[in-house]
Amino acid sequence: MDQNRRDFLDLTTTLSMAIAGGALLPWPALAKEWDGALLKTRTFQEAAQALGGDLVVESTAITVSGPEMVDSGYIVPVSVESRLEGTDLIVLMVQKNPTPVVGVFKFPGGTQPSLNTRIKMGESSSVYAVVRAKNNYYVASTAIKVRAGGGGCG
Amino acid sequence: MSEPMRIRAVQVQDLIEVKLMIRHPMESGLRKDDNGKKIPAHFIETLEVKCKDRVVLDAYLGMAVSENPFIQFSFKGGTKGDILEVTWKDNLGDARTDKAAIS
Repeated sequence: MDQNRRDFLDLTTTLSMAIAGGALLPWPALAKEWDGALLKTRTFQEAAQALGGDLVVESTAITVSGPEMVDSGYIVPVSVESRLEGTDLIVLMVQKNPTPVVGVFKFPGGTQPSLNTRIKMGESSSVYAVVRAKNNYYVASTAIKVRAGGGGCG
Repeated sequence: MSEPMRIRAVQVQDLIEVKLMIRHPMESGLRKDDNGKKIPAHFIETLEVKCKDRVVLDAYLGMAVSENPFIQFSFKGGTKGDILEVTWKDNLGDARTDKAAIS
């Protein structure tokens, strides 16, 4: 575990140096939400702050679902649905992963603010969806138990 | 060299339901091989889906998305025969675009 953590720190240091040096400019421009601080945030509050929000409200109009328990954390199906009007961005986070932010999804007008995907989980954890709707931030979560971690799940 | 994606886009009433299966190792950089050597990070960072030049999904995928990523979503404003264009780019600078018609 310690070794993993050290490797992870090495990786983040290398990455931040590369970003600082301009070697890894996000594509295609700098104006994306996932540029900068968001991807390194560790909690849903930090994620919302990185996007410019200061308050995160728990919402029952967001559904995060997945299996109650999985044998392996290597492929865990999860789905997120927001029924909040004006939803244009969803950040998916696994609280206990070394890098909690799993993905950031932008939904242009006309695209339904919901998706299904498969993620890696290192251990049992809460899975959060941070939703931006009309520039307000909301969160919902589900707990998924993992019997064996998804080896280097980010 | 990357392998082609599987793109399935089906019209259901006024919605286009899209399923993407992307072939990519999505290595986190945290795993070690059998000799204890670190496997370098190799994962998709950005994913963009366009329908007739209009962006319908714009995403960042981190290293914790599973190997061979699967994404399912749906959008309005497309119709049978429209071409869907999916582009990903990974942390090593590799990129790939594939197209499929809505059926």
